[in-house]
Amino acid sequence: MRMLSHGLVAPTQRTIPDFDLRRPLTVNEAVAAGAAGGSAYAQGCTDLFAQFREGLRCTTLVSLDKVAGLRDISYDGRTLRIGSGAIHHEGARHPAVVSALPGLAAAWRQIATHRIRQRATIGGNVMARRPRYEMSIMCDSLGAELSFISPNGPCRLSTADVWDSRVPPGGLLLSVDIPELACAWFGYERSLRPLLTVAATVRADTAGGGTVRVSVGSEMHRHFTVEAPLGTDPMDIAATLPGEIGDAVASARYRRHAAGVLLGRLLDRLASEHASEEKSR
Amino acid sequence: MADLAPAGHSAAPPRVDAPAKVTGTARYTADVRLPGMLYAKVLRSKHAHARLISVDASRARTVPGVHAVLTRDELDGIAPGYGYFVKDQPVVARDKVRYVGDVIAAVAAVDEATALRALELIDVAYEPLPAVPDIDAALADGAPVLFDKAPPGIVPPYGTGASALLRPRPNVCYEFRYETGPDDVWAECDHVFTDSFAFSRMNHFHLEPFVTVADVRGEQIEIWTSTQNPFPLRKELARVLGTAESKIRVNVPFVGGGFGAKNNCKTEPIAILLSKIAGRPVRYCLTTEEGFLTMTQHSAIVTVKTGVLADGTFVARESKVLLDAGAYSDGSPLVAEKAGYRMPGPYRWRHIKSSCECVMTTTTPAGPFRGFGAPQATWASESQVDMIARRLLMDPYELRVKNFKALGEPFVPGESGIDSDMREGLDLVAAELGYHSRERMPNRGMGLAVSLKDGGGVNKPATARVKIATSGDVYLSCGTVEIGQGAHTALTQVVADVLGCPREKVVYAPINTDITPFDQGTNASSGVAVMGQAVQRAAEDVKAKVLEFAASRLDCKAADLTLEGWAVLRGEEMTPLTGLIHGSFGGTGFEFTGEGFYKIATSHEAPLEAQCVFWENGWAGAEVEVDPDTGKITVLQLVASGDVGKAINTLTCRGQDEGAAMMGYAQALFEEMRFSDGVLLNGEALDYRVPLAEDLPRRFVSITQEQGHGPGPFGAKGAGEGAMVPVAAAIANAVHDAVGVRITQLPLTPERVFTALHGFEE
Amino acid sequence: MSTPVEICFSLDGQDRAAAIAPNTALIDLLRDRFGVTGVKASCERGVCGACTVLVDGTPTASCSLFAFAVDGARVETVNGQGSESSLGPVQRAFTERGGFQCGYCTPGMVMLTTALLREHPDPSDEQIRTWISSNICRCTGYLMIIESVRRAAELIREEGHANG
Repeated sequence: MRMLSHGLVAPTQRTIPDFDLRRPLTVNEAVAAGAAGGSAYAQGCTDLFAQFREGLRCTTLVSLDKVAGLRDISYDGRTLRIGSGAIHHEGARHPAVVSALPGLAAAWRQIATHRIRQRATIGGNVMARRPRYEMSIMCDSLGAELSFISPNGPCRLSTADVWDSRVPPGGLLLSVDIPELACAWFGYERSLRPLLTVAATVRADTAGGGTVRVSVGSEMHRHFTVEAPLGTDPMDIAATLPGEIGDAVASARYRRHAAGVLLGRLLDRLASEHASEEKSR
Repeated sequence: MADLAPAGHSAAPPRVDAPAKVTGTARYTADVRLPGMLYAKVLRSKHAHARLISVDASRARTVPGVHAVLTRDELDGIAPGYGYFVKDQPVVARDKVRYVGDVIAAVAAVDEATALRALELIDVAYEPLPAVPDIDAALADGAPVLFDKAPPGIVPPYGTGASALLRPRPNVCYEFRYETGPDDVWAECDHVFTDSFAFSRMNHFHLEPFVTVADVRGEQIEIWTSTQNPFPLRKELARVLGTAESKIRVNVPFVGGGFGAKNNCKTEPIAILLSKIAGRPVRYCLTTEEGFLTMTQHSAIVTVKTGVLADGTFVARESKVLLDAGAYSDGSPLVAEKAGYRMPGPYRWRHIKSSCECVMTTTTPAGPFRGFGAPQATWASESQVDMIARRLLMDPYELRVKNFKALGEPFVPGESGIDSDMREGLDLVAAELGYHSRERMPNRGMGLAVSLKDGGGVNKPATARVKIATSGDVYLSCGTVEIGQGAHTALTQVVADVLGCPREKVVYAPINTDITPFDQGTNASSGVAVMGQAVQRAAEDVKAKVLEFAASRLDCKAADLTLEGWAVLRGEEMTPLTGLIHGSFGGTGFEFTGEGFYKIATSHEAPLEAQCVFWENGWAGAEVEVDPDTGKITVLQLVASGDVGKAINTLTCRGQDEGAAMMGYAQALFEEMRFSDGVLLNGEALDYRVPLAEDLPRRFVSITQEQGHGPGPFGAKGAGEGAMVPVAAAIANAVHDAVGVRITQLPLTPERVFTALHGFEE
Repeated sequence: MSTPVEICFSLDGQDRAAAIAPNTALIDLLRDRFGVTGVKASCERGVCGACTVLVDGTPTASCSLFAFAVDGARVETVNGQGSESSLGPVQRAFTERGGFQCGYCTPGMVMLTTALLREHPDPSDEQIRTWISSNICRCTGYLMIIESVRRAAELIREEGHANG
């Protein structure tokens, strides 16, 4: 629905305003088209129509269907680079993702529904800024850098920047880059979804310590992220989640507690994976 | 009643609407297109409560492509409000808006985009008023009042023990009361327990939206609409529009799900008025988001006071149900009747005192929803029965069995007898669940629940017509709408069984209120038990006429003849009817027509002025595992059962039971319209969670019982609601069994379970 | 007014061409221009899947795809799966096992099943449940749909044996 100044109306697929269609073949062409005021990028389109129904107006639609290179995925042993156009179904199974972060691959395979996973992209998921969409939560936990290109040149943003609407006008998300993966582990707990989900990334340092970076998503609003030294009690980590994590659906107190429990389970899973790795050496 | 066992009796031939539905050729109102058709969009209130100071649509009228604009300025001669018992809902807002989504203006244009552009140009000035977000706010001293003046309303005649009041107090549009037995029995009780329960609010979420195509030509109004009750709709439209019923024709194609939402005026008045102004057909179709702003289930607060003897014998029950009716009454008074009436459950009582009030709040109007007050009543009643069992240190199964009404025992004085053996059903479900023999495991438990619902509608007449053509083709015409429940299948089967013809020879005639015999509505699980009887009688009537005709041609008595296929048999001699008909009527042939009528007798002894036609009883059993660290409930098993009397088609019966049970399951665990201070947070498809296949319990079994005591054809009763009603309580009872905590509020969220387990730790 | 886009695509095995406004959603092209009312419009937000068609074999919500995106593609709807007098195996299975009630989600479920069985001719219960969880049914409670999918797999295998 769309809120006008004087009331509510119900846009549909048949009220989408007329727009000029651009179908660029390269990123540069895409950005040039996206630089025009009133333009919007379109890729999987699984969220785009909902945005039109909420009042999105665009005079130019820049379809990224034909743009080369947006679906590329690569891993160089340190950074996993996932093209923004990577479709969930393909990205979750990509050998680079599986080898770099098996926990991410496993989680990515489960989001949304089978049908949506055949069509929707990680870029669309992140850019939509919907609490129900899960890739932002995972990306934030992983400390992902979002690589944009805009009319003013390239820039790197965090998922928080996207949620805080700091993407430069005409900015096109090229890739989601997850750095420092040499000693990283990722796990995702979605058994309480949509109430809350927990993404945990553990990066070990050379001194035998490390960091746990936890992102907790909820039903009604954006996710929150906290960090703590590896070894901190998961309940204490979760206790640092801000009060805004509570909403009409569940209180902050419960969410902190449940997040702590789920985080504990993830860290136990990590510990047992390490233990069996040790055993097999 | 025919002695013949039906050919389709308890068999599973495919549904007759299968070819149309699996090929996508089935036509719904959403598919209706007329030449020159315009498209309507509406402007809705952004405030929960406000006076409408001004509505200026002058700029909207000038938009090219706009052919009609409807605001309160175009309501000359239109009744101030529509509704059921209380006529309080305006076609478009007049003096006030009473919920976010209340329609203020409507536009019909050459396409939706143009209509939307016109809406943007309508100026509205509001004077916001304080919202009334929930029951507590509505009943508080000095609460803002939704209706300054009481809207016109009626209280229908009630029988022994039942009564009602219009507007007993501010913000309550209707109160139903029922009382029977002496109230001095409270003094005999060894224990009196008073408990309160909260029932949540769901949206029907039928996949076909609310939609109407209206074609007004001069005085004649013709509509195609997705409705469950075309005849009452026609009547109400005639009254609202100030025209004769004979000027209104309602066509009802297939309906893509209703679940109670599609009754009485919804999209019809606006579509008709726009078409009248434009002089062209108008299609008014709501989006799913608008559906959340149109109709919902009732949430409720239920307080139950139950008196028992030390040995668990039930003595007295007093209850108070508060239904959140939303901003307009819609079917709330009727739901209130039933929520109050069903509070006793299938148990023996010496004294019953029930009260149910419809509380107005500035939220989406609530109305009929599958179960119709029984889910609310049963949630409270069956939860409390379990609580009482545990307080008395009794097995909840034993407490129920001890107090069940026996087969045939009147529900209350003056009522018909319960036509299911409640214990037989409970034993089936308990056995399927493994209830009695279960091993105790930590955090695992089992729960049972039962339900009772008077089925078949109240004082409901049904009429049907069957005609047979020269070739032996049969046409069944009756007003039961195919909303998915299998009406076409069951009713054509009844005709086929009476006439001894293949079911494929029976055409279910389209519903057109000019031609179709009168019916009160597709509701109350009445399709087979009530309409089925009218259909059976119509088939018997036409069969008798055919035999009379043949007898006159063959110069014998009708009693000498039997109908065999499309021929008559006299002793050994077979005479095809086609030739006989041509012989009498010439080459153009003839069609024989039979009529049938059924209605249970009016009785002032019966509390609702007519005895209940049949009892739609339900049984459910659940096994759950609770995660004590998070409070999450996993349903390991769900067994749900209804007693259909005799299944005319087992595919449809099973399907209805399973679909109903899943609705109850969803309500128990997660499905809910979430409001925060009266603001709807999740009124769209992404955020409003309905069950998917992956939500099914690990083991889900439905049992279609055929106890055989129904009044319908071949002992049939009704189905479609019974299996939903007890599910939520069964799951809550299982949770109580598993971890010893009682949740009295739906849904059974992890936080509620966790908090009950661990208390408040700050 | 923006420039119309010319598209050519295959619709249920027939070549089709259209000049469309770029803001045309596939669902409206199919229903209104080509009269395929078997593609049902419900939530129109890509959640319920009632509008599911196959685009190059992939189950896709036609409400959430622009028509210009099917240029050069193979689009399959329920129309192409059989007719009332000659039902396809998936349609026969849903008929036999009663995998529908009001019928509004049924064309989408039929297309989902068709795609599933092409990819997994002998699907596990897990696979069926995962795929069917793509679409909403409000009437059946899903068990009879799942049974219809299993029956469809059988019928397709039988047909395969008969033909092979």
